[in-house]
Amino acid sequence: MIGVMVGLCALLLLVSASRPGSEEPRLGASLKLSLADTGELEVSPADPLPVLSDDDLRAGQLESGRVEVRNITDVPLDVGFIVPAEELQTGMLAAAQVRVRIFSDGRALADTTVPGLVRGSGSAPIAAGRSKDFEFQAWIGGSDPGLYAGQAVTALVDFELVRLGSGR
Amino acid sequence: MRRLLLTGLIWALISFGGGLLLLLSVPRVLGGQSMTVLSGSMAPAVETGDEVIVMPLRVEQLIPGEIAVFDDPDGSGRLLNHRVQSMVQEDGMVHVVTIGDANSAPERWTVPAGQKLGRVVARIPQLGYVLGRLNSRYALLFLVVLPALVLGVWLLASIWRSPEQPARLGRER
Repeated sequence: MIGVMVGLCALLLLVSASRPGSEEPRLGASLKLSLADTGELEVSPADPLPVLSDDDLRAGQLESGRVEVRNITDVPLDVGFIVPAEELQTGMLAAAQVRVRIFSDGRALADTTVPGLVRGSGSAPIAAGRSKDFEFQAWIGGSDPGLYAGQAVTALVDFELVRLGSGR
Repeated sequence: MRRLLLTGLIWALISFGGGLLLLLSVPRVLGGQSMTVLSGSMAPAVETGDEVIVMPLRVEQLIPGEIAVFDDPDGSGRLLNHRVQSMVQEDGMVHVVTIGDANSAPERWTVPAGQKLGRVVARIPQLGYVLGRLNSRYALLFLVVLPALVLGVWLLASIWRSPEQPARLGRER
């Protein structure tokens, strides 16, 4: 009887000691936002180069990037940003973990999530032939890595344009 | 005393082996299975040659940090057992990111909600090597026939010896 107990205890000890435990996720989110040239605007950096990119974005970390937008038309333009839903190459809920701010001249044009940008941002005027810098900031909104670890959020941001005049 | 120890040792070995067999067979009754790990991608948590017990569950029941067993997203038909990093469910689909503890590149895959996968619930170190060798004819002879013979001889010897002792004791009194 003691032998049986010893054998079963040894097996129990072996299995419980070598049980693979649960570990915290160790990856950050992979984020890439880019902008492409249009017929009216020239951007630098232009897609495929990203405005903002991070392969290991985690809660509490801020990533930022700057883009120069040049108005190549002969009329002033009011320039805003929008993410076409079909350009958001990931699950919307994964992208919802990433918050984005866009600044121009110290003014916030957007303070939302990546899917929130599907509704568009505020806008800033750019005179004909002139350029303007926009700053993009991104960070993880939630603190649960189970919702973002390793998820890839890639979006090609588009412009929303309003013509402000008929010429120089 | 020595005989008592030997008896205890034999029973300990028998119950250890029997328990091991039970551990490998009971999950099958409950829909699970045991698998031999063929790569070191999960080292040191799970090493090559370990036998793991895998129980079925729906993908949305996985918890980040656990080890999931799933079809390799590259379509090679291999089964991978890697750690879940994140799971996002939307529109009836579940986007999962997994990575082997010893790997640097994650796998990103999407399956319909409700899809059956596996979760590693236990590991028996290096047992996969033993089970692999059990396929050989000599191994079967060595591990099953020989212990059965030894056990048989030992039982016969105990039966043969036992009537003598009360008689001898009787004479001594």
